[in-house]
Amino acid sequence: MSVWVFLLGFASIWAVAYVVKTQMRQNMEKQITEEMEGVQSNSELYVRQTLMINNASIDEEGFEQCAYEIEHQLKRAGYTDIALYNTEGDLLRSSARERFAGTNRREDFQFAKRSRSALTLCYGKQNQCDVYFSMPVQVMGQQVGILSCYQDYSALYKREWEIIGGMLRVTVLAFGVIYLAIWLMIRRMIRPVRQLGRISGEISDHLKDGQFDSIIMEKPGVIRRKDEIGELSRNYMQMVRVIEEQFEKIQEDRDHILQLWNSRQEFYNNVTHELKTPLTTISGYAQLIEENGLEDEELFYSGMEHILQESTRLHRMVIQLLEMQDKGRYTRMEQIDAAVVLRSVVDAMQMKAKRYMNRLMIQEEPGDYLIEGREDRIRQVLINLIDNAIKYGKTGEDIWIRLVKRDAVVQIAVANQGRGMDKDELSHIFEPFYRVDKERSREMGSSGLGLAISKKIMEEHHGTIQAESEPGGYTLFMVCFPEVKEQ
Amino acid sequence: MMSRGNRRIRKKRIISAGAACLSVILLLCGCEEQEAAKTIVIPEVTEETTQGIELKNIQEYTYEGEIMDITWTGDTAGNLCVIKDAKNRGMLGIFQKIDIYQKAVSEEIVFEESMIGYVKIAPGGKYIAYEHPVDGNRELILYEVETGKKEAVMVWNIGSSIYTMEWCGDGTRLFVWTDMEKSGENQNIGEERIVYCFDMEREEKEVNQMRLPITGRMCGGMFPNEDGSRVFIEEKYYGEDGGWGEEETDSNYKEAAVGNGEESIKGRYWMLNVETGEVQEADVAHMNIKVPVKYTNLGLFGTDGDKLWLARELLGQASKKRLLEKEYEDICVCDKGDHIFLIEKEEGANYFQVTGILLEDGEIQEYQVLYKGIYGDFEQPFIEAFIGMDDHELVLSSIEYGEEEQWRLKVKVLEY
Repeated sequence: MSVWVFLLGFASIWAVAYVVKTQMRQNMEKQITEEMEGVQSNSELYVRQTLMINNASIDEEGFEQCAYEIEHQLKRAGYTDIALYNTEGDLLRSSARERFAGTNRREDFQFAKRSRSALTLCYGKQNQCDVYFSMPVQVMGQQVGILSCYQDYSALYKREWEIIGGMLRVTVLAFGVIYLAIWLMIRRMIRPVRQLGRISGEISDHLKDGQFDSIIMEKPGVIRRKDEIGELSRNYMQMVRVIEEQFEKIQEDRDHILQLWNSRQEFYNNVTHELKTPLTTISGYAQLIEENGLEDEELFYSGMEHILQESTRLHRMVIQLLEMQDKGRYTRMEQIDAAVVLRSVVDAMQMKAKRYMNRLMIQEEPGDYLIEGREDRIRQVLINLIDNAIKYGKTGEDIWIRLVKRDAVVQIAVANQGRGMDKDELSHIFEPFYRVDKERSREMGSSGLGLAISKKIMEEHHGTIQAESEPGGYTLFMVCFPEVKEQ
Repeated sequence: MMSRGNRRIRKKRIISAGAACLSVILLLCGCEEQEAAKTIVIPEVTEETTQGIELKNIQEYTYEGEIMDITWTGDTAGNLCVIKDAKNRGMLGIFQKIDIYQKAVSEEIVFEESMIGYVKIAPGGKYIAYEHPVDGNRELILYEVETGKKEAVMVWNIGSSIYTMEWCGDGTRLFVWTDMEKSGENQNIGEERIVYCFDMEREEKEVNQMRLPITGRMCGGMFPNEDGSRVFIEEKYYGEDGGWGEEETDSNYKEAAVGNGEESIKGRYWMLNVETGEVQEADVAHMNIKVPVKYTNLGLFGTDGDKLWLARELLGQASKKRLLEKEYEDICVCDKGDHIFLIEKEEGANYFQVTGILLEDGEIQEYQVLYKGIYGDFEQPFIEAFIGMDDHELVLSSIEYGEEEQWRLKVKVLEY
């Protein structure tokens, strides 16, 4: 736009200069014409008085006789160069023959021969302006000859150009200032629109990548403006922010859905896999028994035992799956003593620990450990943790169980020494069907749902479950319940 | 990274800027001054038949010598009358009549007695009035050229002097303004001033003597009409101390007026009836005509700066009319008041022109340039002009001081 403003301004200056130049030239020509009219009347006066003073006849003959005196008189009167001709156009006398050498070809002289006064303006380079004026000399009503004279108007012409030049300089300066002011004004008006355009362009470029940050961080200065542009910019930036928030929300939802979908898929894969394994065993033994069971009694009983074990495991797994999906079943909570429950579970698990040559060492700080919840579910959590500590702990190592209360939170920690877990393994252990050592777990009758169920139970009790481990070292599980006051 | 829209805008901008530069270059190339020629025909002016002053002839003459007075004869055409100072013959004067066409002296009179003070040739060149010292006194001599007859009409002590003297337009009457009796033992007249009128065509020369009261002002000017029947007198104040060179200002007038108890009167103007000797005050003071030029049958012509006025009915309910407003060097008005000539100088130039104005009953009818001339190579060119007695010639004279350390009079006679 500024280019067009510049073009328009330049064209205006050019137009003004052209009009002024034309007008000034017209004025100059008018001035010269008026001066030549004066020259005409003066010349006739001078010729007449010269003829009279010299007692010459007022006719062509007198004019020819007094040519020298007339030339002298006119030169004294300030004429630059003159040439005198008779009425036929023949040269009588000239003060500068070279200058009037081509007079016959000049249009003004041709007019003078036809009894008309005329002047020829010759504009040259370097501001040169020569004026040739030719006139029929009339004295007392009769033409006595022709006078041609030359005047140099270069100074006037130069002054005209100087005036035009000065005017142009002033105009250009004024235009420059106005153009600069307009340019600054337009720039100020356009800049926010341009910024908004750039931002929207970048938004459209980056939208597919979901990148908003670089744009949002760049806050256009125009936002601070208090005019309509500022308001537009603020509204636009607000709109961009809302879009960005919505976009982020959509992205989060999308990721969440994707994660859910993946979890679900994995869950189904695991369920399918876990259900298929015992069913394969059952199916295999059932076929063997069908084919040879009656004949091979050992196979029959062994097969039936396996079928029974696997079906029991299958049943337990189905129950656990149902437990995981069960919601609202534990809405009725009751006040229980966590210490009592823990001692009961530890007593019950002592037998299994002995089988693995472990000892369950319980540490209990004195105090009340009242919590709110379902005892069977809390017991299930504690059994899971102690059972895992026994199964995956080193043989012969003690398993430490500690009950403490910190800041109105009842903490139960179960720690063992075993293979331990790295961070990656720790991050997945609460996921359903995740096993650190799949073969060993399966051998030990683990379904991979214990910790997932424990976590779910703790969430239902508004508690937490955490795990710490050191590869090749200890593993510690800790559950925290909010303490309740005795009612 | 630039968006597609921004790239498009940038491209458009570059194209526009390129187009702008190209246009500027093309336009600037077109602005270069070209050689050209143009012929203008001066429009024809239909010349109206002029009713104004028509110039019939011009004559030039250069006269060697220091001129005391000059006039133009009316009896024979083309004679210039001069009185020149004959230094080589003591303080004597030489009267010469010069044929302007032949460029030769046609008549010469050498005065035996010396001429000092006033020397005035009457218009037409028939009479000469001059002061002449004799026996410790002075005489005013009236001389008749044709007969050589001369008469002393006034005798006075050397300590006294006359203010001014003027010939009337037809050159028959001489007016002398003085503050003394024309002769006698006790010439001091005290409270009055006298204007004497001498008629050359009478046996008894003195026609009348008109007495004016002393107003505290000095003599300004005396303007007789064509036949000398009436005279207009102007009295002016030239400063408290009576210095002649002091500038005429309103404050000077006022001071003088207060000093005389005559407030609001700047000057005093009188009209003299020569035949009856009656002296009347003219109602001119309020008109602010600062410089009277000529008293004619039409009225009084006078100037105020560059304005030319004509005041009429000076003794009744005087009225004035502005004839023109123009700067000029000198002005000549004929006795009848129908021809005016202005000597105009071109500003900053060495040229002058003579403009003739024809009046009819006080109205300008024609205004035309009659002559253009060059002053000459003098630092302070000065041209004096007068109109011949028969109102057919305008005589322009300028005095040069030549390289030979000699005065030279250059005369141009414009016949109309």
